[in-house]
Amino acid sequence: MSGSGNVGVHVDHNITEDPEKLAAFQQKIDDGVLIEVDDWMPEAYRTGMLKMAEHHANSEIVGALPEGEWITRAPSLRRKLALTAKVQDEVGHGQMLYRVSQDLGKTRDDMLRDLITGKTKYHNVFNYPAPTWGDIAMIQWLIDGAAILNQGTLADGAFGPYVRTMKRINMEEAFHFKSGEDMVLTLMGGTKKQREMGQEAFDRWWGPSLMFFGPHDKPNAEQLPPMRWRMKTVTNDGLRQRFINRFAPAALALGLKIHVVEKDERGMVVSKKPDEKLRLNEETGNWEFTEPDWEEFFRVIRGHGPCNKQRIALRRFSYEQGHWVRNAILQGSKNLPPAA
Amino acid sequence: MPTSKIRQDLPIPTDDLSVPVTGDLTAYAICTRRNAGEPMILAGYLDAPDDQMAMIFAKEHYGQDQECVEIWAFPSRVIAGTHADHPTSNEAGECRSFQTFLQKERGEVHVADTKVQANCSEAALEQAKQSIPDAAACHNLWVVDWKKITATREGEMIWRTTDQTYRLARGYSKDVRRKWEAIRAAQEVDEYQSEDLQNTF
Repeated sequence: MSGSGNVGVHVDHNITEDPEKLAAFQQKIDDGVLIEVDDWMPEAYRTGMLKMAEHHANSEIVGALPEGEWITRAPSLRRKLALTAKVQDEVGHGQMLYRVSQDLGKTRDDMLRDLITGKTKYHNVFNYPAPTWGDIAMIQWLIDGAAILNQGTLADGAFGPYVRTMKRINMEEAFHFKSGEDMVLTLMGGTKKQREMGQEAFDRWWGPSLMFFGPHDKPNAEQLPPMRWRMKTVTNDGLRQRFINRFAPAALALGLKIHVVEKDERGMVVSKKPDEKLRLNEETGNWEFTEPDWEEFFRVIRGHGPCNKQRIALRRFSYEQGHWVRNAILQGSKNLPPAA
Repeated sequence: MPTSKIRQDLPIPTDDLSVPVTGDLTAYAICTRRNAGEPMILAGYLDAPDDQMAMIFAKEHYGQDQECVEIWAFPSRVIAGTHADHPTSNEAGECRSFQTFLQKERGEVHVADTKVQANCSEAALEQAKQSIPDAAACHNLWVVDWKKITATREGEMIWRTTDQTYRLARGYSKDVRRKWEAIRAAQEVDEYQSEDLQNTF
């Protein structure tokens, strides 16, 4: 599953560097010049970009976990191949993004250890369960669709290495999304049981999809460093609206119903009712909708989501189990036992 | 549906990590030639433990996404250039070939140019500046000891030969269009049956 760094943009607003250097840096960005690793940059920009790229890299490798669990249970050989390729892509995206982060001053091993010891975070959306194949379809359609919308705008940013990485990642995301759309179409064009599975998964993932872009923006978001420095180029609310305008009519056309749901602590839907606010506003051209449960969003961010602990435990299990592999490839033949 | 038991029953860890820091891999620069006769260009970077693994990763990572006919991989630390992030060395050794790379404008990719002969990277860079017509005007210039570059052999397989369309967006376009049409057609029939037929009979 794809995640992107938009939610992870945290910049220290207390900037005390030389005003002339800051002005020249801002001018470069305003002129559309890409910032490279060896250029002068404010410390807040370097640490902010590092956090953003690291958060994105963490999200890629954690996001691969719930999907990886489904490879052996994919319903056909083609789906199995596609899901394997997708998981491989996501881990590859993590590789590229850790490389970008390393150049900003943190070692990869430190990043991996900070992730599995809970010092750094990953995208909130990966803390939800994927109990059926329908969830895998919805994840690829909705979450990868949201990621493409978001990352398309991040590829228009100012930090050269991150921008170039986004362009590469987005090429692969297009496959993930299209394959997800194909899976959703198969479910919704299938038997009654398949359509029910699709609807139930959609009910679980519509809310997290709306929250994918992060909380509401501050009123002056466009004047604050993350947007002034083009670390991000569109507000969270702007992206959310684009997403709903694209996916709400598509979901309805597929025969899906858009619900406002309540979930239990395992992330399973316990009650639902139609979203009564959902309608196309002909004047603005925008779809109106019921706000997602922001209390749930912050609860999950604070570590109390349905799968937070399991995701970290699995990531840590993988890291600890993989120690001998890292050791073998780094130490080479030195680590082999003596010949008999 | 249950996941595998070992993964389902993972204990939530509360103690310290049980494994020591292993250390980081080496950063490698990867160049690809998209078609015969086209220049070798910097495709990106990756991390690998050694040259052989770097080439395997490069084929998987860069060769899969963008079809190419040749790949080079070399550790980033062996790059010597005009910018401070890749310092030169004046430690003289035997005279050898250095591959030059030009980045004409900021933000553009590095493109391989000619080779120069020198006994150290500092001398190679100076020679490149003098012998390449565009060198003075370019944004960044690199030299890399040719012996440090791992290259694919002529005719070596980079792309898999099996059908890979399942991992490309275009592999789904036709099916997706057909399925949308089928769903829309089914909905039209449903509407016809619930409205027209009901009113008629």
